Amino acid sequence: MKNTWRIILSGSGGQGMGVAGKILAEAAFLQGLNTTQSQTYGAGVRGDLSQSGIIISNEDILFPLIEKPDLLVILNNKSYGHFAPILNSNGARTILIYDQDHAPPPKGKVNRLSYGFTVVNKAREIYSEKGACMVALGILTGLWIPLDKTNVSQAIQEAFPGKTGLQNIKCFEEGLKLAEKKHPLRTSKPFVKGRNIFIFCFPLYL
Amino acid sequence: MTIKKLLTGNEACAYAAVNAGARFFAGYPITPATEIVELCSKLMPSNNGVFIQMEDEIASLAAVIGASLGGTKAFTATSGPGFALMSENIGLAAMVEVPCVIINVQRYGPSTGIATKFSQSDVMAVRWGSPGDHSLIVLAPSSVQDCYDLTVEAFNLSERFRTPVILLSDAALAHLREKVEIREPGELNLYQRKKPSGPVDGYLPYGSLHNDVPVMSNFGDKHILRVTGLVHQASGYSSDNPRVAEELVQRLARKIDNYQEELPAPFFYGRQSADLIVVSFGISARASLEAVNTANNEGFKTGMLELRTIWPFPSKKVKELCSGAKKILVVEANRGQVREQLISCGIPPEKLRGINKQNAEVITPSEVLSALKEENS
Repeated sequence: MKNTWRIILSGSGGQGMGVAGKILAEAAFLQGLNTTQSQTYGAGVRGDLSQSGIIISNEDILFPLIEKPDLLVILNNKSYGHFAPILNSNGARTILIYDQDHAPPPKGKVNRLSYGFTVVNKAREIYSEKGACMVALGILTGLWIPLDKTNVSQAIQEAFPGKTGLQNIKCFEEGLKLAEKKHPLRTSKPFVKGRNIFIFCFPLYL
Repeated sequence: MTIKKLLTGNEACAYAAVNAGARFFAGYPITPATEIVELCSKLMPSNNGVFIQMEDEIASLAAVIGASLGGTKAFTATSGPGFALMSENIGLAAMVEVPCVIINVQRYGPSTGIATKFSQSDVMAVRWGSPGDHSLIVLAPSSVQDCYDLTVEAFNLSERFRTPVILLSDAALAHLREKVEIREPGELNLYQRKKPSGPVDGYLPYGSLHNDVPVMSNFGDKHILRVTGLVHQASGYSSDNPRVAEELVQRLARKIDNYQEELPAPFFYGRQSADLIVVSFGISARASLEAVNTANNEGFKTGMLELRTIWPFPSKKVKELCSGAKKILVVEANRGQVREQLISCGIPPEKLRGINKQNAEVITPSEVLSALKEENS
């Protein structure tokens, strides 16, 4: 039974990786779960590669950083180079969620549980690229991570007090809708494993 | 009241300092300790305290020493290159016997190294960076909760022993966000600095000792306080008398080394009768703990010792806990600075093996686990 989720958000600095990680951790904290959050710290956060790692668990978290993620969200192409060892290893059962317009997986490289979504373009449509991670959070919350969406909304509101908060919540809700659209797909073959995990973990937390 | 919050290691240090009663911070921002400085610039004024951004780290610790001599709990935060500059004034604080706390958030070195990356290589620098013979206290947190608890403890110990206390954090812990239980001032046991009560005339600042620690007045009190970095007599006036020098320097070490049982004891996890024991500290202890946990679930007999007080090195406890083990694995992100201490306390070097990662990345549980299995096979 799965009761720990290790999530890595990876993209370009400025897409909100750090703050999205913090929001996810805050939402888990609000829900009474154990959580840790770390993020890349350096010049990369200003436009280059930027990552945020979040662990959510109902058990004690012994090691607070992530060696192998359960969920890997990729929003730029550069991230594939960084995560190649994880994505190419046969043993790792990492679920890959990628931006289908800006970061399609390199051909022949990724042959695992991978799901494409319109993340960055959707955020631009509603608000700006800055909301990309909020769209991703909506997708993660809708399909995998057993977090209550009201807790995530509250964490977003706390992170962005005022008008930007509403725009970010809009992005998050749009992400939830994207997840909803994929729901029927979960019964078809490529999503069976995803659905299994979904069913497995939900009764544990809710 | 106890409040639960999600904080980074750096934030936890700053909140802990305020709740421990610190009302003076002087510092110079440096990655990865900057957030402590930044947060203190808000917390100090809002708690009737003083925040000063100094011109450099030499002046920062000088200001902290001055504030503490004036009777305020004072502290500073820095990283390797800044700590190097503080070395001179650490000696002064030790010699004059001024309570103060220095948070050293370790980054990759030597020199400016990699500002944003992690290391645990200041173990020896914090102890021996300042010239002269003296003892001091160094505590190492391994979680954000520890950053909070041990910062509070650092203030208590600095007041109790009248000595600089160094909190040895690191870049990984500094920016790690975890759940922290914040015990507010009413819930904390806070050590109050002892003050002289006898006649003002003829008061000797270094004359009346309590457990080898002088009962000193503060600047501005009725009892006149004289301080100097020179060897001094009980009156505080300087002296070049060999006997005075010897007694002073020996007492500076004795006042801490003879009372080690008052310092945070190492934690022991896993099996007491383990064949293999992992010794670690800081964030590396977290990787070790997960590895030991996994190994024991798979049927191995391993234990883990987490050092919380690094200096004075808890030789007696470490030797006692490690005596039954056939092999000891020392996990630290440096060339083996703690391993050297295990040899010093009498553990045969052939029993010791180190995991010494030096690529500025945190040691992972799988690295410790594979070393554990290799040693066990």
